Amino acid sequence: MRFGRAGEREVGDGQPTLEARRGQEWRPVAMGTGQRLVRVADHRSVPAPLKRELEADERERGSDARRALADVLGGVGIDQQLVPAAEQGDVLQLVSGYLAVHRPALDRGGRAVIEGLAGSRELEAAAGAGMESIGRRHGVQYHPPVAGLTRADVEHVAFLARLRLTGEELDRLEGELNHILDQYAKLSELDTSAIPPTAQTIELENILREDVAGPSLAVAEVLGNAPTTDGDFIIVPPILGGDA
Amino acid sequence: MTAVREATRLLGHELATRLRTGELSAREITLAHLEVAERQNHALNAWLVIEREKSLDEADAADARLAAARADGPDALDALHPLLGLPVAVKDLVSVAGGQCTSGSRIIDGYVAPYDAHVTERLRDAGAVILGKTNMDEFAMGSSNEYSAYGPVSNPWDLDTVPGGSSGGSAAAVAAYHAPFGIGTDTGGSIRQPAALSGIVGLKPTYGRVSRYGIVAFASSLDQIGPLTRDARDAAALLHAVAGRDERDSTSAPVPVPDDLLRLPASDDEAAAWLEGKRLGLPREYFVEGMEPGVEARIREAVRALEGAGATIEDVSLPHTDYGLATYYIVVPAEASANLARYDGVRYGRSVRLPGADFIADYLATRGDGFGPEVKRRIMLGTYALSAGYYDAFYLKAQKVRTLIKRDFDEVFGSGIDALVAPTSPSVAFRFGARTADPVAMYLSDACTLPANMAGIAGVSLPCGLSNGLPVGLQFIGPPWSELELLRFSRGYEAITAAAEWRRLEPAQLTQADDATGPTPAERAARLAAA
Repeated sequence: MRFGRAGEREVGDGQPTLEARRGQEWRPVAMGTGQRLVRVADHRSVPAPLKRELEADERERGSDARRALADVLGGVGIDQQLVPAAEQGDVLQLVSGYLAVHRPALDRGGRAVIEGLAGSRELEAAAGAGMESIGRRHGVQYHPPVAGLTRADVEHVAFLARLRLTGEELDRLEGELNHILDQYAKLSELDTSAIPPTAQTIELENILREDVAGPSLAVAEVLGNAPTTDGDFIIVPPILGGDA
Repeated sequence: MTAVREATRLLGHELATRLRTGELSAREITLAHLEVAERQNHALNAWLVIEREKSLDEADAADARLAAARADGPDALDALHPLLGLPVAVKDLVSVAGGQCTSGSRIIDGYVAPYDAHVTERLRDAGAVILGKTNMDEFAMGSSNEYSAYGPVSNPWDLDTVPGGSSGGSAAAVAAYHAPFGIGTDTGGSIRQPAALSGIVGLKPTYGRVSRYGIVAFASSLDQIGPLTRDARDAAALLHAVAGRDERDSTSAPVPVPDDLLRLPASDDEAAAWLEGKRLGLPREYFVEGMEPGVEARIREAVRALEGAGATIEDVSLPHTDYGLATYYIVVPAEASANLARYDGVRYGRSVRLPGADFIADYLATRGDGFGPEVKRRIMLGTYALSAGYYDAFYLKAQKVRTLIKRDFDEVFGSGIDALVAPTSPSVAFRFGARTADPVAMYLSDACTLPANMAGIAGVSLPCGLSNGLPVGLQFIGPPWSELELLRFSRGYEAITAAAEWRRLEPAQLTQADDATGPTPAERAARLAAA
């Protein structure tokens, strides 16, 4: 489940309140227990290819934004009373697992946060269903997301790639990578079961040469860029186990 | 007598003529270009290093060769390569022995190349003068030069806009007359797109045409090296100098390099006549939604001009074009993640050794600190796409779609189409910061160029006018090994538009680039971001 800069909180007895923001104010809203909160990414996270659909959808519906939202929210079981009625006009669509807030007044630093309630799997499915129906109306194929990278996935991949990332980088990459991965969904439109893969476009095979030594670089040249050397050797960190 | 300061406005082949007549010396030509490059680098940031001493030495050596040839007679002069004594701007991922090779990154800042790339050796054989190394997007990942670790580059047409990327430095340098010749690399469009945005000629040869030995590797099954110049004849001469089989790159093809590359017609009539009867395909999928109307208008005018010269234009379809972006952004990050694994600080480059930590921690820190954000994005994508459980869904799938993309081209060329004509970039040069918020928006800059890389075929971009005062690029795409034909198409197009008003224009903000007290491109970018 992807939410841009989002996180998930369980609603428990401690009753964290649903907060909605209108302009600069935050107002608490009553809500039920036992359901998971999902936070919404802001407007700028809407993948660009879907912006057009959203705009077309708004044109088609005109000012009655709430009806479409009600359809979509109903589909995922979000209790609409928990999303203040005044806010509904601002929440335009479920997009690939997050609610896109279409509000031109959103300033650079501001962020509208609307928290809805759903189990993540249902929200995901309904997001797909919601988008599919929008897609059908416009003759556009909606592609369900290919893969959802969680924060843990991002950390794991970063470790595999031997990249130490800051918390801010991890946050940003989670959103960006998922956004890019969404583009891959398009490939599933193609039936490639009978197509051979292309690894190389040049049709050369097994380019060999005689195993004869030729001129090469002097050792000093090769080692010239090494951080620490000892004679003809580069000094490297130990790779055997600590007590080996 | 050509005034020395006007030497920079001459094309490469025009300078070559004056070298042979003795009207100008290589030293004078080099000095003239050094002066412009040094004066404008504050405002443009196209160069990472300008090698004044070394290039003057190379110029002097070229003058000596000219003198010797002159003494031997006219045949000896003819035998000299057209590039002799002429300045070249070399993208900083080409190894030049004894010099830097940063690839636009901090992670190999301080690395001194211990050997010459094949391309460098060929330039030296020809007697060209390597004026310096140019700025670029880090590890060639980018379409605007905004991802360079050494600051962005300004487009001389509008200093608040990008020159394109990743060969942005070479493109800006050539467009601003710092050198008549530039070397770039093109993996998804990184020669052609900056050529289009900067108003110059840029050619991506067929994969395998130019040896990649000594070029910092990005995506090994797509990378190609090619020329950036201000006209087709110069592009042909530079390609001729560097192309051809090299034993040290096993993907470099044993396909002969035609000497006719050095014989593109000087006569406009002859060049235009060649277009008669040629069949050009107009691929409908390249007129992407969101293409700027001014760009589309210039392309359609160019197509009409080609028709007027006797070429036939046919609508064709490359049905898998729209899948190119997704395919590219799986294959390329996957290959890049493998190629960039070598930057671990063990043998070269930035090396972080944490006291008391294990070697993995050293790698994490070295790489975490040394790579920029776009590089990290792509390494992460590639690592993920290749990781256990995802290989089939992503990488293998993309390789199969790559076959379909290649087949689209094979079918069109197989049906007798000589070349495709299309836009290079759906937009003109954009402002700093316009596309850095959304990585996919930046990736879309290459939508019309990357399919040719996926298929390994050749493409050239050349200027075809302006839109809102900024250059528009026309692209010809051809089957494998068709560089000569593509350059003949380019030369023909130049000939039929030789009288066009826009050909007389210099980049609009070039004189502002003389101001060494004004803002740098990085300062301009910061100002725009804060606005």
